[in-house]
Parts: sequence; C-alpha cells; structure tokens
Amino acid sequence: MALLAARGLARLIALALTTALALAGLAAAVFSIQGDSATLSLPSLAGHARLDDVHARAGVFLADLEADGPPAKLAALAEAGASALGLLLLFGVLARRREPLVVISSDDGGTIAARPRALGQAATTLAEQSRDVLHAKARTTARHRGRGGRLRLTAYHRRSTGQKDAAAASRARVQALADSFSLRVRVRGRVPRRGARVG
Amino acid sequence: MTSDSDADRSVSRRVVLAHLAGQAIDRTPGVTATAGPAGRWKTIGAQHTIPGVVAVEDGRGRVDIEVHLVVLWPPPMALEQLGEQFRGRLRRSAGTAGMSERLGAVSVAFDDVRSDTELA
Repeated sequence: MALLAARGLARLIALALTTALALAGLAAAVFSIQGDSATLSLPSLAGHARLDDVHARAGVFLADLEADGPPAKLAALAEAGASALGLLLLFGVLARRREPLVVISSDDGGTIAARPRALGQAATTLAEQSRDVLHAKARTTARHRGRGGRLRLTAYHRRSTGQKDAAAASRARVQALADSFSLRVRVRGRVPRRGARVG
Repeated sequence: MTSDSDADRSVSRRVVLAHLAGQAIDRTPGVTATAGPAGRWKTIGAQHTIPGVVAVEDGRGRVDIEVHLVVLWPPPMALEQLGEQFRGRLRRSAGTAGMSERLGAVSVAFDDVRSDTELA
C-alpha cells in the first residue's frame, strides 16, 4: 500500500515538474519571437516574471555569446552536446526494448512463442521441487533466429548431496519444459556459500 | 478517405475477432489470458474489454490476432499442440461467423508459466 502511494506521488511530482518545464519552454519560445524590448521578447518576459536582476546578469553573458570568439564556439559546442544528449534521452525513453521470445513454431499463419523470463521462473520452480535442491537459479535466452533457446540452471544443494546427483535431479524436473520449447539445457550443481540465504 | 461507417465496421470487425479469440482461449484447457504486467495486452470493445487479446487490422482489412497466455504447468498437451489447437479453434469460429477471410496471422505468446505448487 505504502509502495503504491509512493509510486503515485512520484508520478504526480514527475508530471507536475515536466508540465512546469514544458510551460516554461513554451513561454521562452513565444517570447523569443521578437527581439530588443518588444512585447514578445525575452527582456519583456524577464520583466513580466520580475527577473530584472537575472536579466541584467544574463544580458552580459548573452552579449558575450552573440559576439564572435571563444565563448561563442564553446556555447555552440555545448549546444550541440546538449542536443545530442537530449536525443539520446528521448531514444532511451521512447524506444521500446522488445524481449526476444523463445519461438516454438512460426509460419505465415503466425507464431507460437514464450517469454524467456517466464520460462526461467517455471524452470526455477520445477527444479526446486526436487528434494535434493535447496534453491535454484535459471537464466533463459532465446535464439535470435529460429526456434528454441538456451536454459542455464544452477541448482544449489546440501554438502551431503553430490553435485552430479543434484544436477541430474534438477535436469529431470526441467527436461519436459525444455523439450517443449526446444531449449538446450545446461545444469550445474553448487553448494551455497557459507552464510548465504537459501530457499 | 474513410467514412465514419467504414471506421465503425472496421472497429467492430476487429472487436468481433478479438471476442472470438477470447472465447477460444476460454475453451482451451490449461491456459488463461493475461493482459500483462502493464495491462497493455487487451482489446477494448464497445461493451467490454477482452484481456490478453491484441487485434490489429492492416491496410487490406485483415485482422492479425496476438494472444497472451498463462499456461498451467504441466500442460495437458505439448505447448505447440496447445497453440495449434487454439489457432484451429479460432479459425473455425471465424469461419462460422463468416469472417475467415478477415482473419490474418494468429500468434500465440505464452507469457507466464505457473506450476501447480504456485497456484496451491
């Protein structure tokens, strides 16, 4: 409940901040239409926002930027860098990473596939059903082309249980799942580190 | 230019096929539909929402269906067979409804696998 409330608050604040930023950007754009001290100029906006002191200080800096010389070159470089960073951030936000699916079959009529993460979870659950296994970790990756993929499973077992026995028991549990999805299985047994949490 | 009636017909065609897909999921043993963690996988109709079914109409008026399923492990049959059974069932339903020409590719994604012990 607290987590949901915190997430809601974070989203609300993010929305408020981005809206404020968008409005500020819009105001700056509109007030850049005219120059000098005309109605739609930045000095006029500074006057409306009662930022005369800031305007006086920024004015000197802006005059330096307008003039030819090292500050202008530096500003152009910074602007190009900021634009590149902005594009990169936009790409990061808007580009959707599609998790490749483990394809079971594919033809013109459509595809039958499964999500690797779901398969990993299922393999973990199945492996942990073995009495020889204390805890399991699975990682499934899909082949980029064609059917199937790989399933790498680590079975953590007691010291009294042999590594091969634990691996064999885990393999037996997940084999049917792996066969269904044409997954190549690699299982290894490990004893948990002393003091590590298991189960 | 598409008129309103064309658009309505297009939407209803898409929703009808999504509805048939939803019914086919209900009749397929060992699986349930999932709208996904973000609730993205669904088709919104005029009267109700069909979870786990994404219906997209292409420019030629064919509707591609993508269904997102949770499978209960162990499944009643091989998953490929389960997927084919679903596709066959949907194609038959579309044929009965006189919409087999409209049905495009039917893709099945098993997005989650749950074992008996997880559900217990």
